Amino acid sequence: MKKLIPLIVILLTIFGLAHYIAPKLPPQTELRPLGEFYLKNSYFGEYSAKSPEVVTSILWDYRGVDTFFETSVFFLAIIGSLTVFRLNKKEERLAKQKPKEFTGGLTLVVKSVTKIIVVMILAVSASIALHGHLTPGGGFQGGSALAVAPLLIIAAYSKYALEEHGLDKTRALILRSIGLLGIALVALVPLLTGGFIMQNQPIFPAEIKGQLVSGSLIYYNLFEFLAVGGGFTAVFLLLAIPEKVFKEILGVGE
Amino acid sequence: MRGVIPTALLAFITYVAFTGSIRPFDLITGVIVALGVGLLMGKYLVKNDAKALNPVRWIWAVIYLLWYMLVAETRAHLDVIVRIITGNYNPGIVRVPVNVKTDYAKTLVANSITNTPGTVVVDLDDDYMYVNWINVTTVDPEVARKEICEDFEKFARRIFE
Amino acid sequence: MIAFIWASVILALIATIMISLYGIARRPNLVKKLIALTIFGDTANLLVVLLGYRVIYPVAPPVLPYLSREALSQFVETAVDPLPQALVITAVVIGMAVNVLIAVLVIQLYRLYGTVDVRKIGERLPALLEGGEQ
Repeated sequence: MKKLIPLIVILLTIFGLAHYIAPKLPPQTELRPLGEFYLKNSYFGEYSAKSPEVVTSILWDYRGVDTFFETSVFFLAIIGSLTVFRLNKKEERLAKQKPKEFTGGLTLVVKSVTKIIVVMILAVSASIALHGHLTPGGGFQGGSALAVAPLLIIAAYSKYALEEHGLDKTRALILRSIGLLGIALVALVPLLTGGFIMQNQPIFPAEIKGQLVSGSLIYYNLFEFLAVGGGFTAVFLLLAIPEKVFKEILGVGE
Repeated sequence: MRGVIPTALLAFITYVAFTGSIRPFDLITGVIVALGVGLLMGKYLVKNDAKALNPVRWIWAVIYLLWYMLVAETRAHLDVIVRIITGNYNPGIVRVPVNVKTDYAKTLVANSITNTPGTVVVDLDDDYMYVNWINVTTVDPEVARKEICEDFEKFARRIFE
Repeated sequence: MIAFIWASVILALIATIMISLYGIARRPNLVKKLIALTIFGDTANLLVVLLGYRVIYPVAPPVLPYLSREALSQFVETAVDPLPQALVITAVVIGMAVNVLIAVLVIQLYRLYGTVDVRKIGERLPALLEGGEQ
């Protein structure tokens, strides 16, 4: 009951204020000129990005350099987490070693369902990323969906299962590096042909064999997909190191 | 190379269904993604390719789906509705032996039991399932198995064994 | 009526921002601070998306439905402003990465101090810095 009073006060304030300011708010029915420019130009027009998805064409073409540097912020955040969890070779082996009494994961039902779901998640995330220039979605969203698959495996089996079958921190980082390198290369390619950095049209072909790929957008989406997926997988693997092992490594005994 | 084709098929169907269109672009990228996923995950999903691609098993799976959704679900729902109205219930957890061998068959049986109202599998070990049952009529494992999951097991054996 | 609902939504978002700011400032628990921070970030993103919304009836997402010039004018009539959405998309992922970084730091602090209460961490910090017992 005591908690209800602030709630009621807040609600009353909101509705009262809303009643007061509702006629004074500007009517938000018109497009801003800049938004209209993007809508008109994204596929047709002189400054076209050859993509029907206006958001993606802003993201990787019109305001590509913005996104380029935001990707570097993402890169730095992941690097920051990795630095906090920095381990040397011996400690890394210790973290990878399976405890002897470990029996592994949740019940059989969860495990077998996880196997099937992981396949479907991989397919769906790839679909989100590869159709970023046609439908809502793109590299960021696809990569975040991709990172769910290793997370599910960590939850249902254990991080050891993931590492034993070849996906350890180093490989996830390699995947992320491939993605970031690809983004940088695709951004730099136009300079070779006398364009400007992150230029899309007309340097990259808009269609390959009649299939719309929107120039560089599909490559950016693909590499961003790998970079985001790999980066988050690496961090999840580090977060999954058991508390006991980490306390041993840090030398903080209970 | 074990299990690549069935896994790739599953991935491809998911990809196309999620995309929701079959332009050549979708199909080409779908095939590439499906092959990649199949090569990555195939050996963990499938133990026997011929079994996974056997059409008879798939037909049984479709029949099971129809039977389960139309008959088993309806029966369980009606039973629970009657119990809710009359208040005639006696809940408890019983031990039920698992008579199927493969992992997927066990999963199917356990999920089928859980998905019908009135019964929930709360735990599972090598030989027994522990089922939370809305109306415990017997604690004898064999009799309980007959009442709860005999039909499911029959189908599960046809589909997965 | 529509103007009233629109104003209520905006004010509710502003109220959420205030509550989350209270959470960031006043809660001693670091995990709760992180939760309040995520709420703050998401609400700010939602406000930016609402900046690009149009309060008209048939309103469309900024994706061309057909690749024909005839449909373009009708599309421009109904579509929402794509620019705020494009800015928010990156902000969401950056927010997620920064949240992961903060979560990692909180876990590390918990491992070092055995608590996520900032007051207790503040008490134990001088002892640690002087090389005393942990």
